[in-house]
Amino acid sequence: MNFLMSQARPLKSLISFLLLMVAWEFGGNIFNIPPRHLIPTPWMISAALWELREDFILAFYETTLRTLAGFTLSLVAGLCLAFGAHLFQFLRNLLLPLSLFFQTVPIIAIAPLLVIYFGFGAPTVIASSTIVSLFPIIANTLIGLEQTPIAYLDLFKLSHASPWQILFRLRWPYAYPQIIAGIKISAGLAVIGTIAGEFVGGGGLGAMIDSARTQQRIDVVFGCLILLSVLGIGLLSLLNGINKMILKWRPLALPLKIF
Amino acid sequence: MIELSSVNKYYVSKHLIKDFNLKIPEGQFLGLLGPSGCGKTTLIRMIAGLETYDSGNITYSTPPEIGYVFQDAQLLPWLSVLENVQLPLILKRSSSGVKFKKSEIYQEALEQLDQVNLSSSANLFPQMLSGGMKMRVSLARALIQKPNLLILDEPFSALDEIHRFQLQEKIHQLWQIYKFTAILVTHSNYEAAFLADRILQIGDQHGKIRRDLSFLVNEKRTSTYRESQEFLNILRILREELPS
Repeated sequence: MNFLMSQARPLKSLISFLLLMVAWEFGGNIFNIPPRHLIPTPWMISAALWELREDFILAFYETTLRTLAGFTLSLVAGLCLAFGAHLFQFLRNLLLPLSLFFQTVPIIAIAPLLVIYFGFGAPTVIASSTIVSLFPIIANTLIGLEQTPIAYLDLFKLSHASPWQILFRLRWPYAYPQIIAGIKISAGLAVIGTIAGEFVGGGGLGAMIDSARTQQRIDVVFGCLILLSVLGIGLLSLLNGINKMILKWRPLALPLKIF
Repeated sequence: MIELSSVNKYYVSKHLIKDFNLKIPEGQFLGLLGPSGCGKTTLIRMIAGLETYDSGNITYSTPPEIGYVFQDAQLLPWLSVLENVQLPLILKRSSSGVKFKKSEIYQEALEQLDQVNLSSSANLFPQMLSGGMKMRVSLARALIQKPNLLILDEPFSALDEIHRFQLQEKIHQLWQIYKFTAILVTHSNYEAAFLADRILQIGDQHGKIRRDLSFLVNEKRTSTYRESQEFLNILRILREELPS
């Protein structure tokens, strides 16, 4: 009984989703609402996924690998740069205009440049994914590191703690909720960056969407969108799982009541 | 002995502390009483070296080893109770070159937790503790460094009456055992009267001392002390100058 109660919400969501699919399928087939040439029915999309399953699997695999590579790079570089910028003012001054530039100029405008620099293929796509997903990690980490309450800093000062101890024993654990929020935003953006990169650099689901567009294969485009959503959800679920494991070990992300 | 001579402190254009002079003999339990914004917290922060002053001098006859109990317990939520208590020694271990062994720190933390009757909660995290327990952990953390100066910044303000009384009695006990100098900042006449053997009543402005009262109380301060004539007399004297 308890199990059923705990599963009630996901069960309700699943039932709602299935009902929507059935309505969409019958609406499209019987009344042509929504118009099937613009929005194919779930059955048409499933048929396309099955028909081109080998292409889809390969494209999904490529996009996933590139997204993971881009995201991992931005995670490592973002954390290092944020910690560096926290410690060294000159690095912060250097990062600020760069971050403004990359936040305001759309990646789709930068992507052609990346092709010139890195050529067609994976390096361009990974670079695009990294550029898009880098700055939320830097911004959130930097903000988090600077939000440490004065009373905690006083406590460390009274024990004559070194700047390194303050950074690694106090500032970063306190900033953890902010950092993890930045990482989650970046994970979503990494998928966007990969697709933008694949539009110009080729390969993966991005190139598949582009080629299906020219052939008016809307069912294939929708198939790609579904797989992209699977990738995004998978990445977020992975991060949520890791986050839960860390929090089980240490209560790092509690709402802290200070003053 | 801690001595403050002609200490001045400005905050923006406000003259927060004006020509402040004070001598605190070793082993004294000093209560600083006064309304909000009168400069009490600034004074203890300057004594602790957490805040600078614009002129004057603060001198210590022996190098101060400071234990500080904050208004809220300020425990690090990601550390267990035991780790929170160990923290000052762990930080000191690597920063000051003092070689404490990990096992010594562990043992010392357990002893301090035992002092505040929290040995059984050593492996809990702070959010699992009541307000009173958190303050006791904070006290154990302040005492692990074997301070010769314990600063208590309104440590009872967030506690209910039962826990407040228990913690006050515990602090009095520990003060008698360790003989450290203590400075208590409080708004409450009752707290100051119960714990301190000298009370400074600070005025509204510039941290001016309105009264400097010393009490020779020989009685051990337990719950019965609160009903004694001596305690009530101290309260009456305090009320004359500073209504609660």
